[in-house]
Amino acid sequence: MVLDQIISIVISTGNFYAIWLILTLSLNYEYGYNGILNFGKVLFFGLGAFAAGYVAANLANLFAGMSVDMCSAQAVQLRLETAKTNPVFAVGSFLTALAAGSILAGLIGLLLTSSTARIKEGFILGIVLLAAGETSRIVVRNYEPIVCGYHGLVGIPNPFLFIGDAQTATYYLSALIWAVAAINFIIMFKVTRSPYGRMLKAMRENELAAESFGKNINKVRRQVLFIGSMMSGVAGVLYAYYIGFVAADDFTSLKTFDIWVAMLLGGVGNHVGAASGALLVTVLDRATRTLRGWLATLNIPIEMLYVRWVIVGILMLIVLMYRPGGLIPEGPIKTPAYRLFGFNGVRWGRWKRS
Amino acid sequence: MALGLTLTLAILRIPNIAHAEYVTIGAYVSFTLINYGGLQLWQVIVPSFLTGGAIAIVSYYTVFKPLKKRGASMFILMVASFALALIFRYIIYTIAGIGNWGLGVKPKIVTNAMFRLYGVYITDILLMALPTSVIAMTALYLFIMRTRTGKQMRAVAEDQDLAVASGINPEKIAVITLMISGGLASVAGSFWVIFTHAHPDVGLEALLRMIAASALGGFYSYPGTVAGAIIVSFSENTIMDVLNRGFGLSLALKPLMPMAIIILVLITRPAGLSGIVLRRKRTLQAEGE
Repeated sequence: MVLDQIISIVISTGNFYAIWLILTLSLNYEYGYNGILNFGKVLFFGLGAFAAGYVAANLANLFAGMSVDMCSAQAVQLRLETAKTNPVFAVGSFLTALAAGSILAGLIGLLLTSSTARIKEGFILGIVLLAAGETSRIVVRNYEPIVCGYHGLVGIPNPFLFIGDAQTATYYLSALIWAVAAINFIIMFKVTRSPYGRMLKAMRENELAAESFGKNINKVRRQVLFIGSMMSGVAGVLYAYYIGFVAADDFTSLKTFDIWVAMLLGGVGNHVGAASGALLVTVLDRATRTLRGWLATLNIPIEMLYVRWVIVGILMLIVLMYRPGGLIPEGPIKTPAYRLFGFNGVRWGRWKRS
Repeated sequence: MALGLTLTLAILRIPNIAHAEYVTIGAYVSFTLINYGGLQLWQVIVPSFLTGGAIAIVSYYTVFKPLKKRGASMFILMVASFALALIFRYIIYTIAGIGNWGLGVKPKIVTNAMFRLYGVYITDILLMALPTSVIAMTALYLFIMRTRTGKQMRAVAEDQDLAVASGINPEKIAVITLMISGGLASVAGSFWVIFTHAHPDVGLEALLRMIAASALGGFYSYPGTVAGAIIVSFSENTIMDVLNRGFGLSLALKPLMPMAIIILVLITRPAGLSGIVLRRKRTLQAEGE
């Protein structure tokens, strides 16, 4: 009994961590390597989740040959039943959602970057993305046909429900989430170690210099935001399928800040750092939730969910002041020449005076 | 409210997101004093101005100044201010959440309808809030444009190094700017709480409107921000009403308006309203020459 509980806690923490890992990696790719101030991370994350909900709800109707109102309890039943009996629907809806979510998020990212290409100041692009994120949340919240508006869409079926009971299906899904996160990590690692990754860093350091070497800055920025948004979209789809529930109010700009905290805490421009930052944030999140239940039994009227944000804010300020590079700062790039001669690269850890 | 945001951004080069929390603090100061201290609304103005200003100054000395000393970029300041905003907001949440005494409650204040004007009730609160904000705006404008300190503030905004070289103490300017911006935000919050309710998210709701007003004004311009604020509040209420009656758009989409303004303005005309004015001036000058 206790063992079961421990296993389920470990699995849920692990899954949340894997999803955070994908998000943090994509933000690290955008900001840490290319210097794009993406304050609208939650927009792409949310788009993935909304796409997942929309696809699952509508495909269920299609497969069952019925047209039930997708927000009703009957529809929830229908989705779960269809997923249990029809493997084609279960896996197919998941794959469709994955494709739709990632491509939708990527395209929106592309659209936003191309339309803001004229803006040179980074923080204005950031504010545009922030506003876009809030816009999408409000639209989805008030427009019923996407994911049932304010109440959210319940009962997104686990894609492995046809194999066995809910427990086994969760295990399979967790394995899948972890596999996706691991693949993401490896791809990011390879990409940023390649000449392309060094070009991104060059752009981050000095756009003019990079441009004078014949790099098309706007094109590269579009590419980076496309890839990063796609990754966030994938994370959103995985999140929706793991939780089994999508509601617009899950995706406030506070989530964006969470991802930023994870990246800045761990280390900017360093995948291992970003991964450890994501771990810290997830553990803090889970720990405060556990403590909250504990305090509630002791009748102490302090809401841990609020205290958690105070802790996050203070941690953030401390890191910004005393360790601007994060816990594991970015090291020099280890090219073959570096391994041979071992000279010291220029560290990016300290903020430069402008 | 948006004025303070523009002031800190223009003079201190800090995109202060925590500015929204000064509004919340003002709201809570007035709420507590009215409900538990038994004060009238006009008696609340001074304490809330002082509290807001003091908290703004404290946040400058504890966070922004050390960061600036370390040579942080504008973006880092923005993230730091976001963190600061979180700390303020959730401390208020924690305190207000104990026993649920202060989440979404209305201050005990009686609104009296004074008279009717074209079918609209003019209440005594409105009669007080409107002149106060107009007086505050004019006073601030005169202060910045006419006094010696205001001149120094403008000098720092133009070029900090040059201002320091000509003997202006940037610390003094920073303190005065923050006092004004924090205080004004706080007073605005203490008025606003009458119209809505005291909730820790009051400031957050206002934040995007403030950014929209500031963006319309071109981020660094003072009169532009005033015009932007009027446009934002007007479009949010009137245009939304027109859209609702004419095209059947749901009123729940009201918060979209400032967002749409931000995106449209920043994409099409990053310099905002002041950019248009400047460009016209420049073309006029070019024609004159």
